[in-house]
Amino acid sequence: MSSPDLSVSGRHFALPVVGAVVVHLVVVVLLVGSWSQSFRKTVEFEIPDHISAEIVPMTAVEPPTPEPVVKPEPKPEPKPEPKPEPKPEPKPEPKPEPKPEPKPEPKPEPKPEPVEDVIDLTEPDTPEPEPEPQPEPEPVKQDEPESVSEDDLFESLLEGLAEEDEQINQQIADIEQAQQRQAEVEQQVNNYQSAITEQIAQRWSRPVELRLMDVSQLEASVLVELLPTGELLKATLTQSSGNDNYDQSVLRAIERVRRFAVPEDAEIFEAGGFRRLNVTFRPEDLMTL
Amino acid sequence: MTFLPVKRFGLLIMALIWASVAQADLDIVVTKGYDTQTKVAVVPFLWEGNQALPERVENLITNNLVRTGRFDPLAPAKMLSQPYSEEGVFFRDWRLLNQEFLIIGHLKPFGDAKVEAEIALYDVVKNKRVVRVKQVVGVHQLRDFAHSLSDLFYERMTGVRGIFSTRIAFVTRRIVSQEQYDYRLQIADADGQRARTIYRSAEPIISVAWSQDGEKIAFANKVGDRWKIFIQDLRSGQVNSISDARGYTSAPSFSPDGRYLAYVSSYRNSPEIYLYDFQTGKSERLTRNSYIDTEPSFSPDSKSIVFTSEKGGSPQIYRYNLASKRSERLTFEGSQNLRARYSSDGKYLVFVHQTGGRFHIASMDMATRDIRVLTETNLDESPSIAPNGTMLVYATQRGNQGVLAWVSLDGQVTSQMKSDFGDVLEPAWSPYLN
Repeated sequence: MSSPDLSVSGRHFALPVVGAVVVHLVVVVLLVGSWSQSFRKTVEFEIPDHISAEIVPMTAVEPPTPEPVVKPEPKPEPKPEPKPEPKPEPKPEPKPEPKPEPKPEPKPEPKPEPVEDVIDLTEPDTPEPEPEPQPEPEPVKQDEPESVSEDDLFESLLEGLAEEDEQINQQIADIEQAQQRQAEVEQQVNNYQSAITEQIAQRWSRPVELRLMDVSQLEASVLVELLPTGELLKATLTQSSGNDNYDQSVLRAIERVRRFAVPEDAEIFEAGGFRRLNVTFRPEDLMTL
Repeated sequence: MTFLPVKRFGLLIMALIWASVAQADLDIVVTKGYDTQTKVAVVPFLWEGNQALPERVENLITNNLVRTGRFDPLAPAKMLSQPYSEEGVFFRDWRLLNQEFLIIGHLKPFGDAKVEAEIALYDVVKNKRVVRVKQVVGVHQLRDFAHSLSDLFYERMTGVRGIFSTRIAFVTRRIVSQEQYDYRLQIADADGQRARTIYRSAEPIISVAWSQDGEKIAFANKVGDRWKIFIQDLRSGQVNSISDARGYTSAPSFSPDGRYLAYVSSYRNSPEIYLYDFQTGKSERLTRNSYIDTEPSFSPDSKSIVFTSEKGGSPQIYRYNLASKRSERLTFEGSQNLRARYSSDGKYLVFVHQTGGRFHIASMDMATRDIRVLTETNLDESPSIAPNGTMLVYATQRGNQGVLAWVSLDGQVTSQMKSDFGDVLEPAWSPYLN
């Protein structure tokens, strides 16, 4: 009696446990996978349309904080769209945080409902026509078998944990890679920033009458709007020095730079803020005459 | 469990990284400039007449611009094209040659001894015409026409009023025979050309000063064993002396409102500042001490006078307020400060400043009293600043020849002219003339 009972209950347990573990693993794998994938997507994202590309970094920053809840549901919705946009929408998924909870506890609690959710999830996810290398999908298939023994279950659990470990290591590697890339980007931004500063300084001829006056308070700022080619779109005086000839000299310095030294890499151009330069002119070399 | 924080940490890092990258504007701070000369192409003007004109207008304009020290004209031989009308102007060509501005012109005979001129200035950086002048001028007015065109173009290019139609007065000294000199007071164009003598004396002429309207000149001339101040009306040529019968008087300065003449007199005491009132014909003494007070110069608002005084132990610059009758010391830096003159807008004082045993031309920003050293000088070279404050004219020696030298504010000599009558002394740049 007890044994059948046990076996029955065991069977009852086994299935939900397997189900639960599978579900959680799938969720973890999918979220982590799609997240890191989506991240890589932005990294590789190139040749964007000027205007649309500008949004990339902004969306990346905002989402992580506000939604700590599992929100994989919204994902399916955008899918139906036939547009294979290289857009940053996937990025909002840096919420793999919620899933970790189930992982350590092999709770015997039956939780059949999520299965459908997961299936719903997996289905729309797999059809993703992205031509990207995805090593992640495999583990999903492995877990599929429904009738698994407890040993198998435990093994697969360990296996899952090991896989997750791997995933995390991979993720750390990704992060490190991203950081390295980030350092490179920053370095490049600095280089181009110095180059532009020099381009402008070389073309800045101050009115000679400045030599007569106290220039310690003389400062003007210009908003310089550039095309990704480095060509000047618009220059607007945002802060006047109070001296008209000085203001004209700074605008002219900008106008005389026919092509600004901007990064060719569109990602660096956008990330570095080269689309809009806030140029401040302060004649420090004339202050010590 | 242990991976959790790692993961979170990683996410946090990612968020921070993106936050640091994703800035809207890139900040750039420019703290120096190269102050290169403005590149301007003055294309030889087309002249449709048969006989050569007495003046080459484009050459006069080019020389005027060069003399300021701020322009670098393109040699005509280097021009890709030499347009004389707007249809021939291709900005790209001039940009290829790195030019910032372009001046073209076209002259046609017009009736008897007249010329119809059409001259235009283009901004190559902004791809547009800045100004175009169409005018009929007499053949013998071409020099004046070139100077007023220079004024117009200079102002449009720099934002500063041009000084090419102003004049410079100076004194020449020639040895006639042993101990015999010929002194002449002369007035020339701002480029030193067309000098004419307005006053002659066998005795020294010093301290030449212009009235604000440019119609009178005051100067001191030695007469016997005294120095007298004379005022010459440039229109009538009439000369009057305001000095009384005794003592030494010199260093006149007209008040810009035309009412007063400040000067120095040292009859029976140390030199003091006096004020002559043209309305009453009387003089009033302003300073009273046992030290030297000299070199008065009116402020543009006619309300105060700057002067040099040794009452502090060394020559320093003071300002006397005509309303309060009080004087205030202005200079404290340097071992000596003297010969102060206001800029025409009253914002700056330009003076001789001695520091470290050397003399410099320096300026003081009257708003902050900040002193700036402009260029080195010798004390015997007396510079006069142009009314727009952007250049100086000196009398100096080159070899054993007396010359007038034009110097930009950063100290470069841009032009020199030797005198036909020996040494050159005491140049005085006129105010703006209309």
